[in-house]
Amino acid sequence: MAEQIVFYILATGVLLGALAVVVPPFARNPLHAAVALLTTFSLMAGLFVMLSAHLLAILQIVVYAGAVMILFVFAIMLLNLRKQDFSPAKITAWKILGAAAAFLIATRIAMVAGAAVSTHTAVDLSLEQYSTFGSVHDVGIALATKYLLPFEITAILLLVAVIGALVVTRRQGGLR
Amino acid sequence: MGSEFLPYVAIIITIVVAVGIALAILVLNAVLGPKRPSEAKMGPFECGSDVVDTPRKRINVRFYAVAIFFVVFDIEALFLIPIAVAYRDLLQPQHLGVFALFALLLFIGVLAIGLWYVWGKGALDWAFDALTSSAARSDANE
Amino acid sequence: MSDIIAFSPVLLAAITGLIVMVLDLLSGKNTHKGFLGWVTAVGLLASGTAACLLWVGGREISLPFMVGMVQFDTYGAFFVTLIAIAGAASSLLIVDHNPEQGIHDGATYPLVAFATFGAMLFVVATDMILLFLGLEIMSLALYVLAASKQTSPFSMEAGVKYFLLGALASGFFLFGAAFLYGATGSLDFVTVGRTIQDAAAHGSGLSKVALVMIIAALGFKIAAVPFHFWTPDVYEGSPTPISAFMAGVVKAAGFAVLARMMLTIWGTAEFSSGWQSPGGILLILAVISMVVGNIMGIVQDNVKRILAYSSISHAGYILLGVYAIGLGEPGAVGISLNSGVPFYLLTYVLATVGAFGVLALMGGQGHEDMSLDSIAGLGKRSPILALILTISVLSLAGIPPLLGFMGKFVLFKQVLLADPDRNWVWVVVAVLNSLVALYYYLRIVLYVYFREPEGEAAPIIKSNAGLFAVSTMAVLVLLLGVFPGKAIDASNQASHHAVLSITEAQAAPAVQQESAPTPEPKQPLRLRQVDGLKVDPSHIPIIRRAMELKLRDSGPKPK
Repeated sequence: MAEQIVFYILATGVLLGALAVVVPPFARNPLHAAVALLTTFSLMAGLFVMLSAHLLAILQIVVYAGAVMILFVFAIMLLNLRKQDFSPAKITAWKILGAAAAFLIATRIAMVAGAAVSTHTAVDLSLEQYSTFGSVHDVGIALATKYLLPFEITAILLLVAVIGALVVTRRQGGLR
Repeated sequence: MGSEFLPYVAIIITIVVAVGIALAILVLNAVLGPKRPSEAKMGPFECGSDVVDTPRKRINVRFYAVAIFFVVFDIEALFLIPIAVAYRDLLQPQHLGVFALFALLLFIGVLAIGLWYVWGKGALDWAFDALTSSAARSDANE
Repeated sequence: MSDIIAFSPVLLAAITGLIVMVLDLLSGKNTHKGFLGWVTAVGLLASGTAACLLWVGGREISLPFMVGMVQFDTYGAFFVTLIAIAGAASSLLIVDHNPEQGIHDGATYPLVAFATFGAMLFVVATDMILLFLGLEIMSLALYVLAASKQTSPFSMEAGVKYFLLGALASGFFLFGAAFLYGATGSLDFVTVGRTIQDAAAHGSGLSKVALVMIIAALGFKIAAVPFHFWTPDVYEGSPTPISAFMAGVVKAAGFAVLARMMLTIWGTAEFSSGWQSPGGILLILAVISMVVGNIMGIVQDNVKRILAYSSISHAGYILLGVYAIGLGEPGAVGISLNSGVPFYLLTYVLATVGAFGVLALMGGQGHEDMSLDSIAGLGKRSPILALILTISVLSLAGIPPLLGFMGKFVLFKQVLLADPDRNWVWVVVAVLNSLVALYYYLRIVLYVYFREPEGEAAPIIKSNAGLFAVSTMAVLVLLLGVFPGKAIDASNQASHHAVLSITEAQAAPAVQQESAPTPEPKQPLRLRQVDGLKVDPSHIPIIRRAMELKLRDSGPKPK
């Protein structure tokens, strides 16, 4: 019961934070939106904790709330948009259509997911066999055995990100 | 509160205290602090001299490149932590054996080439930026 | 060890990227980086060749961390080869295009190699995590490549547009994969498909949501209408060799995965019955892609935009092929991929890379404009390029002696054969569309040969590498058009291996009725223990549980 209360508090926070990122008046100021995103990331870490995924929770804080957030703030400073750079918010037919479609899809997914959840039996994470679930050690074993191939290939993905950053930030006329 | 929260008591207390102190300072400041604004007080402080320009300027895009390099190599380190923790077990024959070491070295090696590339391409050379002329740059490099 | 060798075609592409990076550094800063294009092309072609040598007929995988992650078979070999050819051609086109456009950086080549590697990985992966990694490696490299010409605002715009929409599509893909995982508890889509088909009642809602999400994500990559809005802008704004890469490699990889995932996960005999079935959705996308692509193609004045809309309409034809599954052929529940699809993709990729390639060899000295007017009179200025462009464009249009005609003929015939009573309507629609499309293809030819440039004509880039690439495409289009036998054979074999399955024909009697007695599939089946057993339907959950346990416990065997 107490667990459910905590879950609903965290989940509401995550959703409200996510909304504040994109919906005015918060979203009119990029830095405010960034802070809202930070809230979402942090509360998401709480949700990971509730799933016993402790390593993920820490990574969520370190990588997303830490490093990725810095990147966002950098991008905001880099662009340094002022109020006059934004076009005034207009409500167009496309936006209404899009909002309606998003609403329809969201309700549909909620219904379907709700129906699916009700037929599933919950896993009791307090059982003995799950005692080390989500620990750093277990994740390490999984990464290096079952998911060894994705793990190694992630290195290539990171490499592409490095080269990409190099190419998009080089000075005009080409680097060296 | 159920027993499932016991392991988290310490961290919950930490969070509550941290947020509480931050809030308390803001609230106390708003309630207790005397407010007598004057023009000199409201201006930004710039070592006593007058403000000449807006502090909001576009920063060099290379800060961003460095930020991305940081995130990438940060993530590399984070990927290595779980494997490092489990390394002793991974050396057991039923897991990877000595192959575990090579798996790690492969991962690090690929990204080491990335670091070398970035370095060689000069994306980390900041000191020469002050010397804007390309002649100065090539002199310095040789 | 043999599994690592089996994986080598894909690995070769990544190693090519690494080698090119090292060579780029070692060659110093003031050298002409063109040789890197040759190195990339050779490496990619080697990986395509290796795929043909190693994978045809299928390979069994035993290494525990690769079981259920990847699949090496004729289908993979076909598409990896196709991707390698298109990737190699693009890298050769870059050799002289980039310096002329003011890009002297060698970093483009490793990105092309890695993008090709991502596409290959995307094709051979059967695990959602690996699929996503392949998708992201390919996309991330392409976002940067699209924006790699920094002196041009159009290129920047293309990069940003492609990135924003591509990131959204990746999000949809993840969402779909997450729902599938939620519905079935598995990331390996062969097992996912099995579970969904076994227990249609359970989680069918979740799998429907996942279906829509994944169609949206892959529909973006293959540029099917309603997910096509980025295509003309991005193809127009990107450096032309990169447009060739996107139109060739990304589309081939996207379709390869779309067909395999759709048919493996949702491929029952009811796949294309009714509008709400998976096939029905594909059919709707197919028809509107054809119509919108061709109509919008007519009103364009820019050659790159015309080719972009042409690629959209071609996505429509191919989707029609994916919709019209073959019944009663090898495969799990008596279905297989329509055997015209891989062949059609081959014809499309060769011709479209050729056409974009010729455009990449025009526009020297930073000239960017690719309006119809700027290619006017090409027939006099460069007869070879004009001929190659004509061959490619007429092949896209489907004019008889060329490969494109064979592609359309085989595809439409197979679609008709799949279900003559219902599909004839769609074949008629497709044929009418091809006729409409003739207009804008012939318009290009008309400008090339019979118009004099009014404004500034695009200067021609002297490039041996580029000329080699495009003329190879044209020769292939001609030769395979006249002698298509081998290619059609390869396509047939590939399509027979498209649907991955753990055969369980006996366990699904309702589906069995449709299919002719199925010969033993040639592809390597994991978990052979269950194959061909007479399974009592009530035992399926137990067997599945046992398989899951086996998968989970399959750590390396003690020596």
